Amino acid sequence: VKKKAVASLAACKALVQRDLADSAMNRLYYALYQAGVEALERQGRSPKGLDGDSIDGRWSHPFFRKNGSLLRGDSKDSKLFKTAFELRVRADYTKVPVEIEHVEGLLPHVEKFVAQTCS
Amino acid sequence: MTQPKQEFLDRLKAEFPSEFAIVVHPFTIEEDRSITHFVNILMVPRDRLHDVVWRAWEIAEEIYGDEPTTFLMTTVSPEATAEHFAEQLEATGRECVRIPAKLLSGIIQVRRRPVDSKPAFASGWRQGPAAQGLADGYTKLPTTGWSMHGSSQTKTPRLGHALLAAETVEADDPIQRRYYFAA
Repeated sequence: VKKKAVASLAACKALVQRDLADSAMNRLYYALYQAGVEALERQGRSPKGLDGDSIDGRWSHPFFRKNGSLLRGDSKDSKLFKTAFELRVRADYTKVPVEIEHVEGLLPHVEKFVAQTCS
Repeated sequence: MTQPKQEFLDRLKAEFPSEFAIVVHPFTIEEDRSITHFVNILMVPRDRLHDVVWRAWEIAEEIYGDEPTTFLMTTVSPEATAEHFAEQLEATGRECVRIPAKLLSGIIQVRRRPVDSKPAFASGWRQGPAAQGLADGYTKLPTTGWSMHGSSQTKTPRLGHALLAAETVEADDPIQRRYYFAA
């Protein structure tokens, strides 16, 4: 999962360079999600018994929106997951495009999160 | 209205500039069945797209605490507002005009005129800055006259006035700001 998080982040940056905001936002969210999974696995945790929304043994997206702040002990991380998830939903499912400034605003926060949880 | 809570929307209204408009509409997604609504904060300048939604979530956390929220929320630039939300605003029953994105850049600069000043249509556009015409004193949108004629200098304020007059909520409160509830 660590490799996937790092690769997703690299893909996001490449897409930002090409001004492909919706696709970049998708990769940025998954970099964050995968890094979150990595952090939980390093803590020896599994979805069973913790994540009521889990399906087929996978960590659910709502889990991170609700509990993101527990991963690093940073109260801002739930907000980070919420914001990234919302923009990813907008990018993937709505007609309103994500704007490149959205991605650029979140990118430094996600980079730091991935660096700290996957190092 | 139960979701999102009126208190939350009132806080946004109080804190954010009146140029911002807010559209709330029902929204569901398979990935998270707790989600019921999408909150769109419109007309946010591109360089503030991130910090505005960040602050909005801080307000939400102050109100909801640890209670799970059931809405998603993002910010939308003036350009994307023009392209994607005109029809939706019309669907609320309030009149709205479709504005070319290239004409929207000036609209976010507008400020409301004093309540006791003359309406812009009476005084004319040329008697003051275009912003004076974009007033909350209007409670109804004139139904005609939104043509594009006139000099290039008048196009933006005419269109801007049309949009913001349309956005003015019918209310006794003259300083009430613009809210839409498409739900």
